[in-house]
Amino acid sequence: MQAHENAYIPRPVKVLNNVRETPENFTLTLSLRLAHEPGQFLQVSVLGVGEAPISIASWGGDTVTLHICEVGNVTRALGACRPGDTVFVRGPFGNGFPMYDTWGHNLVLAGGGSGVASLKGVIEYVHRHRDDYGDVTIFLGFRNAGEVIFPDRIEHWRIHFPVYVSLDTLSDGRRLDASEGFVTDLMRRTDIPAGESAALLCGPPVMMRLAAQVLEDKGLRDDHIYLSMERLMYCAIGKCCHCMIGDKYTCLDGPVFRWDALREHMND
Amino acid sequence: MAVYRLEETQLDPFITAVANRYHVFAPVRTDVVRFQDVRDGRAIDLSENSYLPIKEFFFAKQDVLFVFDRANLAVPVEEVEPRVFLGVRRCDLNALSHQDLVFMQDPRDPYYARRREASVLIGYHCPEPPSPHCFCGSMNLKDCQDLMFVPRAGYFLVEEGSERGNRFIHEFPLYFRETEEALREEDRRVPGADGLTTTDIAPFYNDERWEEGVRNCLSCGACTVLCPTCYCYEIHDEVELEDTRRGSRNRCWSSCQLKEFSSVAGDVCLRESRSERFRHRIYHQLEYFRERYNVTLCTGCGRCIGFCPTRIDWVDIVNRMVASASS
Repeated sequence: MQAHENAYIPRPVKVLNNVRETPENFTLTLSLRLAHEPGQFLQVSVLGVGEAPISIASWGGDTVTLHICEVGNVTRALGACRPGDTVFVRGPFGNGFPMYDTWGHNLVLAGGGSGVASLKGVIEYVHRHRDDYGDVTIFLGFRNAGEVIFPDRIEHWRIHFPVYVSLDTLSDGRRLDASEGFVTDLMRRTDIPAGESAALLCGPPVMMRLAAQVLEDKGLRDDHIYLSMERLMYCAIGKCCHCMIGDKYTCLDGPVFRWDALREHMND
Repeated sequence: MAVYRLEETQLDPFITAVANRYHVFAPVRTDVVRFQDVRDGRAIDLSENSYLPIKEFFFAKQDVLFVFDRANLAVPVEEVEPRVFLGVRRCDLNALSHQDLVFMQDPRDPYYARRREASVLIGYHCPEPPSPHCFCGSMNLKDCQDLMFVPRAGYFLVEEGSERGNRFIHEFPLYFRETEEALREEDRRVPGADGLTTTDIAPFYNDERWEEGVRNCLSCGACTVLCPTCYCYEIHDEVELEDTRRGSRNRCWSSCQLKEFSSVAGDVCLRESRSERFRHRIYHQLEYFRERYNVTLCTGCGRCIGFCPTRIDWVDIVNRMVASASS
């Protein structure tokens, strides 16, 4: 066993908790103390099924929270994990959101769907370092009430920050105050603090592209807008090449990219 | 670096002597010319470049990264016996040095590294281009071999390229005679193999000829399999049918020319069209790798053109882009 010098070897971690958020989404809490940046990710595996990159949806403490959407074999196997089970992890990997470069700025945080998970770590970080940032405005978009993740956390964030929530279609039974429509339209209608502002985005590519354009129209500089990207990934150490966006590797240079560097290459 | 002479008549006994201490891999004609374990020099065929490059001896088609039994992991440690690759062309030597940049640098790939460190590389200078599709002369190739054999009438000039090459010569002193004869400039370049006009294709990203180029593409991936530099891979778990809690995590070659290469959750394929995948391959070869490693990945062996089932000649396509840009 040469785990210390072999970057492919994952380490075992105990599952503490698995909470179903929606029929397809769940939150896994791992017994893992980890030094990491908000927006970084872990390679999480179930042996025999495979490995997948998962954003870290928490910041600090003796546990790591992963918010996962069941879309493939690995995520479905993770969804079946029970407290006491062992999963395997490598990482953290990636650059994470620029919490130092945006120091002193107003922050606009915009998430769509499962992308809200990655922003959850950012929000927890900002909450702990509240004095380091100016005004913080949060936009969250979901397809419908049934797909809202962490509704209790979102209510909690509302105590501290203005949180705007949109649902593509409003329906009965929603647990949150929300408006109907796309989150990018909600952003366009909403006043965003003037002055030095930076935006951190995580969501489907179409949503992020539109959100970046709305923010530019509102006067944000394109080099102050950051997007967290998703790509197929195997090695997470800059070798297998599956996650390339142009000449950049999502695993090493990302997953967070600046809009000015990315806008021409989003589909490369 | 010192230069030696090895008489052509001595090649066979030399290889026999080397094979007593090393595994010797050299080009042999079977169905095609391919590198094989040889015991003497009789089967060696230097008349053309090998169909398959030597990359599979380092970056294996399939590697077991680790095996598992429930939560216990074990890493297989392959004992690689000392080995010599003899008759490797300059394109394939440079290709290996480019893969070294990926696999030998931190975090080092232990599977590749073990094989690489056990290997002596003996090059063979092409006196003429072995294929009409060769364009190594356009690729600014370097000397990166341990020894280079340059064919002359009746003998080989043998130039040391590294410390390891020097030690190797001294292991077999019987066969090498130091000579004053120096290598000439043309012994480092293959004449008439400079068909690619430029490696700077950044201005042509939106050129419509990427589309034209793949009209006949079958998405078979032969270009990436036969490429000596292509190093993309994927990782999958396999379980034992007798007990699915036991199994292995394996990596295998992967091709950017297939749709699955860039597919993500929700059946989204990021490079949906063949032209996007084709363009990505050529940009990775000529631009993207250089951005990171400061050297152009492609080494101009021409296999991806010569062995493409529909002969997609991307060198011709790039040259036409250059020509119409400058006219």
